[in-house]
Amino acid sequence: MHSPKRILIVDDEESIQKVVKLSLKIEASWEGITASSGKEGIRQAESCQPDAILLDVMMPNMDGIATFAALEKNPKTRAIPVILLTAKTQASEKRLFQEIGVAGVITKPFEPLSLASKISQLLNWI
Amino acid sequence: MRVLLVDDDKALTTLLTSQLMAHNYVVDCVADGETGWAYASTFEYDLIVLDWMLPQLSGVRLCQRLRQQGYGVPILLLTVKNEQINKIEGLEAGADDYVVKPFDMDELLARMRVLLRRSPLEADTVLSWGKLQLDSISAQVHYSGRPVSLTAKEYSLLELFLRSPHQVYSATALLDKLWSSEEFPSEATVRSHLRRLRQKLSQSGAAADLIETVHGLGYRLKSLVIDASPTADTSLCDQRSARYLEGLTQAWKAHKGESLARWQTLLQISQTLQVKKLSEQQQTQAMQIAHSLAGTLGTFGLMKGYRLALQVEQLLLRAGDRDRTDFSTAQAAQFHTVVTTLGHALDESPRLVCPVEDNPPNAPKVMMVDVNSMSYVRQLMAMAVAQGIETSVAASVEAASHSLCLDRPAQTSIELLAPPPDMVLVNLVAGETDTVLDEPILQKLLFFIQQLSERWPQVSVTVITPQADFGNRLDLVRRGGALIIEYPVAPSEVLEAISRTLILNVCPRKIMIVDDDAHYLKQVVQLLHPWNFEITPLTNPQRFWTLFNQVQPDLVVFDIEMPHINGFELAQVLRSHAKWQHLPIVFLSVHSDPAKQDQAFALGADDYITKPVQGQALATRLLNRLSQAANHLHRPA
Repeated sequence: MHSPKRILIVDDEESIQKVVKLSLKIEASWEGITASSGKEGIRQAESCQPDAILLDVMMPNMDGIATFAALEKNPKTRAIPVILLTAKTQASEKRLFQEIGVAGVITKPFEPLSLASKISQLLNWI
Repeated sequence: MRVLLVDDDKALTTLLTSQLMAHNYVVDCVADGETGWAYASTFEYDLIVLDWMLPQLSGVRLCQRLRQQGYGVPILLLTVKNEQINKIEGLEAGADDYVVKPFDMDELLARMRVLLRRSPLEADTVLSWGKLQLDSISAQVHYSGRPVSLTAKEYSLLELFLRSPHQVYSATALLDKLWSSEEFPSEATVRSHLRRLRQKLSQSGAAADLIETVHGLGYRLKSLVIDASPTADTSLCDQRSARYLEGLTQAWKAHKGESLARWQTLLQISQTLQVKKLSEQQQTQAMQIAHSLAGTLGTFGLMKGYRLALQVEQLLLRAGDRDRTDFSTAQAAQFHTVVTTLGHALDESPRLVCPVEDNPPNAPKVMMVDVNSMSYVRQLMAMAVAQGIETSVAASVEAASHSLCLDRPAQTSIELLAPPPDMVLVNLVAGETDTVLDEPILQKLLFFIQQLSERWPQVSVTVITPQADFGNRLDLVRRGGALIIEYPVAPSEVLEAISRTLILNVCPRKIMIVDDDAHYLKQVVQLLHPWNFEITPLTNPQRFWTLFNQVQPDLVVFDIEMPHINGFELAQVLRSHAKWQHLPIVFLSVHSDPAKQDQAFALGADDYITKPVQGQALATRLLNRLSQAANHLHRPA
């Protein structure tokens, strides 16, 4: 059983936002809030204080890595765990992402209806 | 509506393509007959517009080939030849209409519309009935997102019901619609196919009577109102999956246009690549688009598109690795083919699929050796990638020999960094003439096949050749060819044939060998090492039954003389069990006398091999038995 959570999904693609939100809702009844850019993501994180942030890596203007760095610097958001969401990556790239201090990396395509479990596992919620 | 335009007149095709697109046609445009054949035999088109004079394969010959191979798509022939005799020749070749150049664009469009109206077009490519989905483009059936494997006849039956969901079909009507006039099946055959179809649907989670019997009248799909109501045994998991799939489908419908737009940018980039090199900015942009597209398509479960988008990214990355953005002509053509195939993959429907692991351990690997960069092989490569087969192309015998270490002596060569591919496919067709390659290069390839099978006997060799009579087949199999495919043949058929072979080669086959001679048993295990079998050796036949039931092997090998229980008795025990009556049993014995062999076959042995035996001979005999057993399992009813 999953305890109720609120997850901020930061992705420039609305279609991915919708699918991630849908998966979290159907699997675990979690609430998904969305942002379409790094800047909007930071604003949402400050105001909504989600339990975790799912952050796309490849975004125009401010990419996932820059967004993560800004979230880390910001005292209002630095405690929120961040998981990177990225299309298939090389193992070396994945290690690099983990070294910068994110709580985890989830690769697209993710397993349908197991996303909440994967997040819980990465963040030791279970 | 999807139209294939085959014409080498660039000015005309540019104009025609823009006009057709303005009238909402989706257009694939190719410039020679051979590529036209590769496209027409791979993808589904509503209409083909074909120029008479084409390089490599003329329009009339392409038309004839399509009709001979059973393609019924309407064909409109364009030509400057205005003689009555030419018109007759074109129509006799199988064209449905004939337009003389120069033509009036409005007239051409009107003629196209007439042909499209004449053809019984089925607008819906994905047919649904509740949780059941049939994708008529990929010919795949899913229930609640899970694949349902059907024989060709079961698929046709289901498609017919789904196309007319409220229609009741009698057994006679089904016979008329789905069996050719040369077949003579009885109504019992129809019932038998229906029974198996119902069983498969039911095993996938559908109601057992999804296709219901209307007494005295025939069969039809059961009303959805009843089917859709939740039943006691519908699991929570199924309901969640159905909800997720519904949401996924809606989201895809709303956002498919964005993926199409990205693909169109990739297509433009691939067209640019045909004539000039990419700027660094264009290359980076293309890589980002391909990367994001892969993520999106994978998330929606469009796995063919996902794999092809990754391949596009890989091709761009490899070009970038060499610090150059100018692809060779062959690479540019390969890139274009992969991008075009990706466009077709966007027509698939979203599915619930498990993600692909970063490095799937059992992804089959194929090397295609194509010395004349034939569009046909490029198409085959793109389709193989879409199916999840790891594919590489060697453009010369030297390149292929080098990557397989054939240019170095076996004993002294540095071992391959990666294991050899599971299959090497050798193309012996000269793309320009449709005949076999010229003698010098043909001889080089034949020698390559021989060297390859001697060095890497476990690698399956497939040959595509226009010369596949008995004499040529004999020569090829003597050199080590395992699968000989006669050209012309649709790329999809080649892919099906190689997939069947790859499944046998790639999935480790479980073999249990029972022999009380531990030393010999160790030798046999070593001999069979290169063939990737999962071997369970056993020296004590008294432990056989326990271990056998744990392992459940695909084949057993028995020695005859063993203490306490001999091999014949073990075979008898297996054959006495209903479940194991078809399990391949091979005897491996020092006894070469006919009486023992007769006894073995009388007990139900599938093969009898006399010791001593070479590794390759033993592996071949075992693979042969495994292949026969697999064919037995998958033989359509």
